[in-house]
Amino acid sequence: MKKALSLLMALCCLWACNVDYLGYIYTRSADVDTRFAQSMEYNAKAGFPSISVADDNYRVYIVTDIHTTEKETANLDRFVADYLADDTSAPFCINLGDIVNDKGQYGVFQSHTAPLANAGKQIFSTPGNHDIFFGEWDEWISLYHTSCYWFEVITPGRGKDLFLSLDSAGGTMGKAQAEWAEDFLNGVKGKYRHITVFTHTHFWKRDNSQDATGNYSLEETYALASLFSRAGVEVVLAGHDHATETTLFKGVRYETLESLKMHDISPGYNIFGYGQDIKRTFVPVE
Amino acid sequence: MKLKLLITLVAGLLGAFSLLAQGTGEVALLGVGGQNRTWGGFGGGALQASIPVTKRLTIQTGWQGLSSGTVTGLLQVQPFFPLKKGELFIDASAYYGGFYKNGIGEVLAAAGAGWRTAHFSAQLGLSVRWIFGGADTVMEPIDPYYRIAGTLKKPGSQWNISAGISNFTRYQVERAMQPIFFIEGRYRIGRKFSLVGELNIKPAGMFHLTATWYGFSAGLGVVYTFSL
Repeated sequence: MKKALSLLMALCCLWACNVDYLGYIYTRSADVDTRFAQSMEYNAKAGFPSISVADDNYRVYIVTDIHTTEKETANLDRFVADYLADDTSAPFCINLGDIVNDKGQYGVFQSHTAPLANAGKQIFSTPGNHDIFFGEWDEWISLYHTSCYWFEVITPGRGKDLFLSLDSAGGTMGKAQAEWAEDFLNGVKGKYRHITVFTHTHFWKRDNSQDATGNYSLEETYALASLFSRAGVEVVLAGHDHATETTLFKGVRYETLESLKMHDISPGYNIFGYGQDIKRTFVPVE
Repeated sequence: MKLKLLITLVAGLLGAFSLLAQGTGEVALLGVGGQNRTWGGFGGGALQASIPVTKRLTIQTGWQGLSSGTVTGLLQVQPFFPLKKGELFIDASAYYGGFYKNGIGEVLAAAGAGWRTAHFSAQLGLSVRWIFGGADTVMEPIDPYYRIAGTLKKPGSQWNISAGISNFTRYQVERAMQPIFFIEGRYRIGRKFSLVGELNIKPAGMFHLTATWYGFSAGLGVVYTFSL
C-alpha cells in the first residue's frame, strides 16, 4: 500500500511539473527542415531589413532566455525600461530565444514589449527550445514569420554589418539550413565590416553550468565551427546555457550569454558596442 | 646501438607478453554506413581487436575511417574481477577523433567501472575532452559517460542480441546529455568466426525537450576469435 501511494505521489508530482515528457521522445512542433523551408518561403517574399544608423559606433541590446510567464515579467519590464531610457544609438535589440516558458505566453511577452515597438525599436528574435516545445511553432510563425533570416546595418562611414539568425531550437540546425548558411555566408564574405550569427543553442561546454541542457551532436558542432571560421563570421551569439562563456575557436568568438529569467543565478542582459571592435557589457538586473 | 636496444626491448616485451597472455581474443573487420543531419549519407570501415594480456586483463583497440573525412580510434585497458554474481570491470581509455574536412581534432581520456552478468551490464565513468582547431584548444570539463545494456542469451550461444542506451560508441564519446540508443547482434558461423552487426541511433535535442531525429550509423562485419 505504501509503495502504491508513493508511486501515486511521484506520478502526481511529475504531472504537476510543467513539462511535456513526450518532448523527450519527439517534438510536437515542426521539424527543423520544415521550419527552415517555411522561413525561406517567407524570406523570398519579404526580403531582408536594412537598418541605417547615424554613427559608425552603435549599441545592440541582447537578451536571452527570458522564459516569460504571466507572473514573471519583472526582469523583462526592467530590460524594456532600461532600453527605452537609452538615448544613444541603439535602434534594435536581439532576442536569443526561450522568449516564453510554455504555451500561451507569447501574448504576455508581446504586451510587455509593446513600448519598444511603439518607440520604433525593433526586436529580432531567434527561437529557443521553449518557444517550440509545446507545439508553439504555429504561434511563432504567425508572430515572427521566420526563424532563419538576416538583416544588415548600414553605418555612415565604414560600410555594413551583417546579422544572421539560424534556427537551433531543436538542438540541430539540420543539413538544409547549414548548407544554405554556408552558401549564403560564402556569397557575402568580405562585404561586411562585422558578421554576427545569432542562435539559441550554444556550442561549447567549458564549464558545468549547463548540467541539464543539451548541445548539438559533436559532429554538428565541429561542422558548424568549421563553417563559421571559413565564412569569416566574427561573433556567434547564443543563449540556452543561462550562464556566460566566451570562447575563441578557429578565429571565431563565441559568446554564450546570461539569461534574463527571474530568480536565475545571475539574471541580466548585455549591451554590445559595434564599432571598430565588438565590445560586450553585462547589465545585471536582480 | 639505439636500434639494438629498441629491438631488445620490443622482443623482451613480446616475450613477456607471450608468457603472460592467456584467454580469448578477437579481431573484427566491419563495414560501416549511416546517415545524419550533418553529413547526410556516409560509409567506411573499422578494424578492431580485443587482446587478452592476462587472465584478468584485456586491451582493446580499434580504428574507423569514414567518407565524412573522419578517422577515429580507441585504446582501452580493461581489467576485470569475478564477483559472486557477474564480474566487476574497470576501464581506462584514450580516444582520438580527426575531423579532417573540418580541420578539427579531439582527444579524450576516460576512466570508469562497470558490472556485468550474462544478461545485464552497467558502466559509469568520467571523461575529459580536448578539442583542437587551428591554434585554439577548447578543454571541456569532466563529463560522465554511461552505458546500460540488456543481453538476450548467455555468452557462447549460437546467436545473441543486446540493446541499451549509452552516450558513447566504440568510436565516439558524446557529451552526457546526448544519448545514443543501440542494438548489437552476433551470429556464430564457425568455430572461430562470427558475423556481427550493430545499429546506433542518435536523436537531437532530447534534453532540449524537443527531441527529433538526428541520425544513425550501422556496422556489419566478421569476427575472428583466437586463444592464447
